[in-house]
Amino acid sequence: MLKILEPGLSTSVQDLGRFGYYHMGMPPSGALDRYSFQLGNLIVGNPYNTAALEITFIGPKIEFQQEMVIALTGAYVKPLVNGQEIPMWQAVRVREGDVISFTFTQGGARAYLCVAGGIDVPERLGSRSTYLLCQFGGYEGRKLEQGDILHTGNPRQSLNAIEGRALPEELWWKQNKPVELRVVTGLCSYKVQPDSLFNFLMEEWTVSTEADRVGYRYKGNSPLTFKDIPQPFGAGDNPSNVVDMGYPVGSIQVPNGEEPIILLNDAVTGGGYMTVATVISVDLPKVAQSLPGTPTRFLSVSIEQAMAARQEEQRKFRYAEEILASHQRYQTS
Amino acid sequence: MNTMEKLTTRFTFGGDEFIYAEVSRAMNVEANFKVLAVTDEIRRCNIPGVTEICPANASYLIRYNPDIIRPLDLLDVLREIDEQKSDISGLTLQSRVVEIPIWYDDPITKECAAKFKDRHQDPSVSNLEFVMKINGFKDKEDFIHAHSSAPYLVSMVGFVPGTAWEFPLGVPQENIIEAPKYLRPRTQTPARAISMAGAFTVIYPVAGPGGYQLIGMSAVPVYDPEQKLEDLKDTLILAKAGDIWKHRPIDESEYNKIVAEVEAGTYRYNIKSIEFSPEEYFAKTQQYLNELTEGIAYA
Repeated sequence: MLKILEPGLSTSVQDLGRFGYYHMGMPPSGALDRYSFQLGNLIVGNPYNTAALEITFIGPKIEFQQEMVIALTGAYVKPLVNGQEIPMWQAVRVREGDVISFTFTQGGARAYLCVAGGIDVPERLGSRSTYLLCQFGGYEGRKLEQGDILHTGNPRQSLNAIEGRALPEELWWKQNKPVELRVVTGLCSYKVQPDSLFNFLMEEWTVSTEADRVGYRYKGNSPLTFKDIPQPFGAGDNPSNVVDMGYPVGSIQVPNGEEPIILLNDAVTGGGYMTVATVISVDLPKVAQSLPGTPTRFLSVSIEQAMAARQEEQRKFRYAEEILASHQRYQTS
Repeated sequence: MNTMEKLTTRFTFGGDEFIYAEVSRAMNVEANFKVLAVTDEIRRCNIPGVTEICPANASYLIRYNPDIIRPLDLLDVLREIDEQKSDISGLTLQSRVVEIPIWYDDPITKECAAKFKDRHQDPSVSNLEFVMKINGFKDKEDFIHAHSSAPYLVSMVGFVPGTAWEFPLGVPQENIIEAPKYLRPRTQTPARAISMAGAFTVIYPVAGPGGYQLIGMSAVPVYDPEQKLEDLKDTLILAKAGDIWKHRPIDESEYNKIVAEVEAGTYRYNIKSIEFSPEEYFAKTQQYLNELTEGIAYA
């Protein structure tokens, strides 16, 4: 069991998300930085889709009420167990009564605390993820609060076998600056003057303070200009309005042509704002790890390039699996 | 509106995990019927790798795992299904008529509107009076009759769980009641408020921000996360794309009675299963709608 002594800014239970309910307005939720989240689970011997804690900016203070093995991944948060720093990206054993605390996240916005056996909250519609906006799933549908007690599941292997497993630095999550987000253009981009969209994507943007699990708004550039085409029936008067449609996760909408908003895992599933491009899935963690003020550029790619980026990420996961498996052999020999 | 011309769908990728299909840029029931027919067929086909099938007003959105089905391969499959289902004559849709009891011109939404009047185009009147004015209604009863006599097609579900876009059936485009959104959205709206913007009517599933014009309160919820009500036990939400909803005007005492039944968990929705034929709808619009809503429509 984990006892929350201090909740941090916004700590919530997340897995890979809730699928199959988008058509009823239920977004997937789930870990925003899927890369760090999945590697954290891999380190502690969990299946990829095991519930863990997502930590945002300011970490919680947690007391472990039993012996367990944990791993911290994502942005650097200087994890301290009873005041002593422990390594991230490594399976660390903690004992009953140990207390973990953190500094602010550095160089990123989110970190993951994965526990061997996972965080055990009831599944709702097939997932343990928290959908904060509608208070659904996770731990009582909300971010964690002081005094909450979280149960954990049974580890798949003995703690001895898991402890000490680690990933090399080349696999740690790192943010380059400026952040480069690869996007596939399309959706409703037909409404926009082509040179205006080209400039819009080429210029440097800055993450605003409106940045959470719902979406990230960017600031600092000239607005889009629209083609002179009449608004279709039912769309509304503003040229940035369309007849309400489903929004892809990662899609970039531009209300009034001004500031782009990237929709993330807790976003509304549809609406009437024009969308012009979609961030490719492997670059969504870069969005979620961006702190306000982060300079960002968009890079237009083809669907083939998006698939190649996906395969590159999968090679990293295979590599991580091999490294952790070889640790296992070393331990048992 | 009684033409069933062939609609050509435009496909575009939404990153590597979504395909967006735009059946029509303008809202019309023909486009929505095609969306329903195509998405039903996609569901029936059980395409490996497809994880979400989301019909919208005049478009649909598919989510898929591109490691299981390659983007261009899925695009080919979708194009073929879309082409096959382009002709909506002869089509029947499994649907339901659902009665929604509405307390129009109620004090709850009026109080909310008064609180946010600095964000409104015309703060001197209620939202309902504003919608009446810009649509040329003089008499409140006429407006309520106009809004509640047409059955509404649930042409899209989404936004947050339970939100349904309702579009009037059997009303010529020039007579459809339309309204702009607030100048700046409210930060608060009561749950179950019924509202209008564009050509759409929407019931707010939960309390929250919103920019639609408030015209009344629904006595019944459209979202039941605690799964207390028998009819929402399996689904959590009331709306299904393709539903036909009929608003029945009620007074304060009936509103209170129904709300009490909902709170006690005993309320049963007035629902009738139907087969909807777009062809018959276009051929004998009003008569067909009367037949379908018989026994549901208020006396």
